[in-house]
Amino acid sequence: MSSWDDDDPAAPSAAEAATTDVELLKRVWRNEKAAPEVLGFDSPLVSRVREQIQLLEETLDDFADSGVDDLVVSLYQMDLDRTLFLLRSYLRLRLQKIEKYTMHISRSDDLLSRLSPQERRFAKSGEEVVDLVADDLYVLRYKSIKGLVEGGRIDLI
Amino acid sequence: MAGQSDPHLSIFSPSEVEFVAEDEIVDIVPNIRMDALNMICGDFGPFFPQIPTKVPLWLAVALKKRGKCTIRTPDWMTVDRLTQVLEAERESPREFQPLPFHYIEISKLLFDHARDDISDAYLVRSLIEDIRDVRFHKVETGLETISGRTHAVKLKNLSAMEVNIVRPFMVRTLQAFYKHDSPQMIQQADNTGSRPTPVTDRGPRRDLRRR
Repeated sequence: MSSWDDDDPAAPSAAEAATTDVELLKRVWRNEKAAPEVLGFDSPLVSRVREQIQLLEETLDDFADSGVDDLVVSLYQMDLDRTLFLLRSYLRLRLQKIEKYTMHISRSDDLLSRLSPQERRFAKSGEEVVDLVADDLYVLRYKSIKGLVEGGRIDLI
Repeated sequence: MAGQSDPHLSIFSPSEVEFVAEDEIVDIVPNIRMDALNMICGDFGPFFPQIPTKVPLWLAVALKKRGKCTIRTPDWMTVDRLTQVLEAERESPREFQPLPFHYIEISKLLFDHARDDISDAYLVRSLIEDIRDVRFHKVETGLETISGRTHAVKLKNLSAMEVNIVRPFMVRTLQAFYKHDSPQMIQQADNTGSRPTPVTDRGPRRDLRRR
C-alpha cells in the first residue's frame, strides 16, 4: 500500500492544491486502469465530484428555463458529459476488478480496506453466491437473473 | 490476483487516450463575445473577439465546429520545428526527442477539425507521420532487447500513444520472463534430475511484483 501513498490526496503539495477535482479524478482513474490490483478508494474526492456534477445538472435545468444561449448550454453539457464519463468509467472499472477477484479480495483485510462501503457490499454479495454453488462457472451470470427466476418470470430449463 | 493483470482492464483504448488529450490547453482566438465559463474542469474565458485565450482542446474544437474561433497551431506543430525534430530522431537511434506527451492525438484532432488554421497543413501532417514512423521503429527495435535479465526499461520522452501500444506487450513479456525464471519453475526442472542443485549463474533477480 505504501508505494501508492505518493499520490495521497490528503497531503497535497502546493502545485496539487491548485488542481481541480476532475484532474485528481483523472489521475486515480489512470492509476486504477494501469494497476492490476484494486487501489484505495478516495471517498472524499468522489463525493466532491458527485456534488459538482449535481450542481451543474441543476444549473443546466435553470439555463433551460431562463433561455441562456444554446452555445453556452451545449458547452456546459459537454463539460458535464466528460465528467460523468470519467466518474462512471472509474467506478465501473473498480467493480469489474472486484467482480473478477472477489474471492481474493474478500480474503484480504488490506484489499477490503481499499473498497468503499458500497463496493464492500458488492464484494460480499458476490462471495455469497460463489459459496452457494462452488465450481459453477455460471454462478455470477445466474446472479444477475436470479430475481427474475425467483419471481417466476423466467423458466430455467 | 493470480499474478496476472487482465489485459482488457489495463489497456487504454485509443479513444480513452484521446479523451485525456482533449484536456490539453491550446490557444484560441474567438470571434464572439461570451462570458466566462465556470466549468467542473476549470474556469475559462471571458471571451472577446480577436483576443487570444487559453482553453482545453475539446472546448476549442467545439467552438471551432460552430465557427466561433480559430485555433492557434501550437509552436511545435510548425514545419521548422518538426523538420528539426525529424532530423534529430533519425540521427539518434536510441533516443526520443521531447515532444508533447499527446502529440499524436493533438495533431490528429487539429487536422480533423481545424485544418484551415494550420499553415502548410499538408507538409506538417507528413512530417508528423514520418516522426511517428521513425519513433515506432525505435520502439520496436527497443523491444527486441528485452530479455530475462531486463528489470526496467528506460523510455524517456515516449508519448502517450506510444506507451499505450507497448504497455500490454511489455508487461506480459516481463511477467512471462518472471514466471519462467521463478524458483518454483527451476525446482520443478530439478526434480526430474537426481538432486536439486543450487542455481548460481542466473544473475540478480528482482521480483516484478510481490505475491
